[in-house]
Amino acid sequence: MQIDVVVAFFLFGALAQLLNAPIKMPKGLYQSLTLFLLVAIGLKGGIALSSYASLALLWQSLAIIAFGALLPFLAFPLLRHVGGLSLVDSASMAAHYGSVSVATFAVALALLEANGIPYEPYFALFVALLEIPAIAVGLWLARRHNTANDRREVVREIFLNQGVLLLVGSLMIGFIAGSGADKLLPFFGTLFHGVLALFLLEMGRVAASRMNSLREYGSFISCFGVIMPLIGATLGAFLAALLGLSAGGMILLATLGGSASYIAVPAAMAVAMPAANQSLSITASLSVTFPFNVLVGIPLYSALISYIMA
Amino acid sequence: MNRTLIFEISIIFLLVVLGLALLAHSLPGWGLLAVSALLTVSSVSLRLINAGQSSMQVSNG
Repeated sequence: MQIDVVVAFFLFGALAQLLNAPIKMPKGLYQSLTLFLLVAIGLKGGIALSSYASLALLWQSLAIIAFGALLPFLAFPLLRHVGGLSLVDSASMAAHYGSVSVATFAVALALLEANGIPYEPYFALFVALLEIPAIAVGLWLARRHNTANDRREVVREIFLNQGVLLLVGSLMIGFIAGSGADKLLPFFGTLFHGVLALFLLEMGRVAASRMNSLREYGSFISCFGVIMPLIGATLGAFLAALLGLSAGGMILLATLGGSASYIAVPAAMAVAMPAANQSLSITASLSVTFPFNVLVGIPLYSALISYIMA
Repeated sequence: MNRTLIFEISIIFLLVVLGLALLAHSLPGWGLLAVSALLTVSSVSLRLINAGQSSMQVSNG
């Protein structure tokens, strides 16, 4: 068993927290690292998109949007009828699991680049497309209980939250500038792995610090946080095969299907569904699903897809 | 037996089967086996804690 050096920082951060010796990062630095990762992924994706834009990509994008809308419909009945969660909590959590985690995607990207596995370089577009449909489905599932007073504020939070805005904005800049944006790559390209390592150090601390909350919510949430990524990843891999993506593309779409949002969706849900228990969804996605994907899921998707394709 | 417990047992069983199947093909199944062990421990221990707390409430009430 070999752990990727970037992932080792996640374990380091978690271990330090569990030993009650947390390595605390200044809040501003953590936000800067998040900003860097979003811009780096968006920019590189946009530059690639400028040479790959085609009608086929449009069809792929529509399929990806449909995939993002499907996942909450799979998560919702499990949460509502098996887990016995309230309608609002089930809908909110289903939205979290239908949306994606950019950090998980960044770890998968780092793994592909470290192992020299080629992938479709415009994948950042799919990340941006997968952020939003699940939120809309989550709101629809809880439509009778939406207590938000200002619908404009809800729409604004869905489409203009910082994560989506930075990703889409960088993607557009990269797309418009094309090779003209290459001069930014020494910064956003070369430093990517180092920044990701620091980001994961903090994520390890945060994930471990929320572990105690799992006791409050019961073991169902842990089981759900493990099985839902496996369902999403399997469907993502099948969709990637249907769309004719490369092995690297299959690994990335499996990772996106298996990931759960903990930045964009909580922000939107806090406005749209204030009655939902945000802590429940964040604990599941951050303390169960994110570590599962980083430590077990991504290496597994990668090995399994490479084995099947070989 | 309640639905949640059946769900948890099914997930743990599925993870063990998948983990062993992966290992049989020389693929990284260790992770799924470790996760299934963690879920088993958390499921049993949380139920024991809850049972202990409810019996204390009954005796206090």
